[in-house]
Amino acid sequence: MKVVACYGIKGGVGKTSAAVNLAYLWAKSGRRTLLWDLDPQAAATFLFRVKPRVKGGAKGLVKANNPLDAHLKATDFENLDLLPADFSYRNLDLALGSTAKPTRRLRRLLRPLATRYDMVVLDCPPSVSLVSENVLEAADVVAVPLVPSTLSLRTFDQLASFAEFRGRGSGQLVGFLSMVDRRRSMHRKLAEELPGEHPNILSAYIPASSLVERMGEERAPVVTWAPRSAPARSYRALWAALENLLQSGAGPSPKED
Amino acid sequence: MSDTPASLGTAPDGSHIADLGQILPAGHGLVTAKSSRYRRIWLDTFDHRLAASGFTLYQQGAGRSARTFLVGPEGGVMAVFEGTLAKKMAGDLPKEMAKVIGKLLGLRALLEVGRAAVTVTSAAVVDELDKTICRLWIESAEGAGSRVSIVPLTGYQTEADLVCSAVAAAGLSWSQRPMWLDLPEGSRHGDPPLRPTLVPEERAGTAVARLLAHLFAQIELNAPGAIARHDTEFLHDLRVAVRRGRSALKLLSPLLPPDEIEPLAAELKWLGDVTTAARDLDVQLLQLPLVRSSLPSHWGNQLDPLADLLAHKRRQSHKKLAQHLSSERFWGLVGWDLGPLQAAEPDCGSLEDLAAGIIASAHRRVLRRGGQIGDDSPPESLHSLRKRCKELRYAIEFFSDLFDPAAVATAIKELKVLQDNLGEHQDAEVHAAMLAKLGEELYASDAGPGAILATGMAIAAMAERQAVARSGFHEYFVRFSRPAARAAFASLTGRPVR
Ligand SMILES: Nc1ncnc2c1ncn2[C@@H]1O[C@H](COP(=O)(O)OP(=O)(O)O)[C@@H](O)[C@H]1O
Ligand SMILES: [Mg+2]
Repeated sequence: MKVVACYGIKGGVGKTSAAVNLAYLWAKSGRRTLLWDLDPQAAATFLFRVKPRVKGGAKGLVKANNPLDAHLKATDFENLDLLPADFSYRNLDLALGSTAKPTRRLRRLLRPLATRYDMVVLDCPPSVSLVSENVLEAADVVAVPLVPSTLSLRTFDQLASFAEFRGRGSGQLVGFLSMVDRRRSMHRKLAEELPGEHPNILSAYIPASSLVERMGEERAPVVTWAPRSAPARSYRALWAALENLLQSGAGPSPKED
Repeated sequence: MSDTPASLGTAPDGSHIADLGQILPAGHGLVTAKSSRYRRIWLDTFDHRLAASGFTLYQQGAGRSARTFLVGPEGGVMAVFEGTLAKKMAGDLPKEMAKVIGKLLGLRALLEVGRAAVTVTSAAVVDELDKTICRLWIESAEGAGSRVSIVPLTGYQTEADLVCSAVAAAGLSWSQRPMWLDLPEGSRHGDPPLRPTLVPEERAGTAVARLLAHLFAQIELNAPGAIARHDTEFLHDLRVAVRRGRSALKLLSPLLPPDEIEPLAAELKWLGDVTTAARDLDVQLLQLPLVRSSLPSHWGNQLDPLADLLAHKRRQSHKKLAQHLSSERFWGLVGWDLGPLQAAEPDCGSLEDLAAGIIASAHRRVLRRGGQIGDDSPPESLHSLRKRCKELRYAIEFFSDLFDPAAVATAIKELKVLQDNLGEHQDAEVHAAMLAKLGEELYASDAGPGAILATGMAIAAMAERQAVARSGFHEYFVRFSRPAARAAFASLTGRPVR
């Protein structure tokens, strides 16, 4: 079982949009896939028409030996299940903090699912917190959407050193440009040059597109209802790049707790 | 990730399918995805072992898209295999399938039991948010109606249960019956005939005629499979039917006109005799893996020339068998006119009394003969006791309908323990003798010394098995004659056993 996280310090940059499309593409490729919505705003849960409710809330979820199975929900797509978000996830940090080895809790919770899923995609809330430390511990690859600006590049570098500080290899954290507006020269320039200059930024990027916004009305990944569109093609390219990374053995070798 | 679908019943004309959308719980809708049509071929053993245990096995599609599906008793697909099954014995099945149905098949081959064009429609049941909460599969085949399977989705079991009850409330009942059983005659292969049941007030002549007719049907039905050599059970079952027929005639001979009995008994003996060689070779080959593994390390492999010789002999004997089973004499036997037998009106009171008397005396015979066997009695005395036991067994089975099933089961259980010991004793001897003969043939051919030595070791192993069985006999017989076992027979027949 491989774990990929869509993560970033900022909100509104395209994490959830990427997570739902990537999860769908993995499921479609035949992997038994789970998308875990960790954001109390429950955007991914909403996009799959699932009710944002987890019995027992954040506290119940992180309890010792609490199997996640009871909370799993099938989506409308074959091979793709969802672990919904719950409003109480806003206190997930506190709940995690009250456990033993609090930074490895997520990893531990996921472990029993290895027989059931080949792939787990984590859709993370924007923050630097205990939740993000857990995500770094659990994920083989962390994919960070970056809006094209020098500032977001600086944050990415900070994040990379934070990850390294946490003892993870540098291959684990990759960035990709999101909401790229080809009409703006700065965006074009960054999209063309950044991947070459920065080893951990992928050349696949997601263009700004109203079709991505329309996912909120369609309530399904854009790759399913507009498979030939530009954003769909971009999500597929991003997926292929991440799949490649996973197959070349990126990410930490499985550590025992 | 779907779990086990619940299968719902059929409507002969499939009319309910269109109404499904209307009978769903309030706020729910049905979205039909796609329909596909397949040529489907169902497989089962000759005696329908899969169907009897609630399994369905079928292959559909052609060429590269051909698939074989195993559906379990709950209606869920338990294993899918890409392609069709080339060989049809338990040992040839893909692992996942063998795990589930291997034991059930035993020595039986999978045969085609039905074929039809099947339309498979998949649909989704959606709630008020248009979220899929379960899936439906609707399968229909010409003449076999339609059946709906409800496939629950992870996390939506309650919703699926609601849909299940709604569909059930609309008049569809649960069904685990494989679809092929409902196919029209012609697309489906005939069911094995049901054994007729005896009724206490029946006349002996009618009863024996009916049972013989049944046994003849069994013989006739198994003959094509024995000729085609689908598996070894066809010939075995055919021979069991022959033996049963012979014992029935023997058991009832004092009551029936000898002119009717004798020629028929002669024909049954003939059929038994001409099928013996082929069956013995089948048994030898079936036992071979066990024999191999009983030899120390690499000696097992030295038996390859023996295996080749056996296989060759079996081919030859099956050729002869096929001739016998398609001969006029064979057809004369299975078409025997049982009318005169049926008309026979023996003076013997009720069938029940007659049966109890026959069983009681067969039981007495076993006790008497067994009691005469001492530690230095020759093997033949055990062989003849084995025959008496078989007669007793067939008598109990033959008349079993007339007695309390629990009493029948207990008596058979007691008898079987003794039969197993005697069987082991005699089989090992027969086996050793056959091996000795084969060894001579191997010696005459150009098989190397390894094969001869290994065969010798196998003979020694058989002799050892026989000796073990012989030394155990006394204990088994004491067990069979103990008061509790006698009491079991007494309560079966209602007659005291001295
Ligand atoms: N490539 C894009 N083009 C246009 N709008 C986008 C794009 N990606 C995301 N959005 C929109 O931006 C908003 C935030 O996106 P989301 O994926 O939820 O970000 P995050 O998960 O990082 O908060 C949503 O309304 C979404 O539709
Ligand atoms: Mg989000």
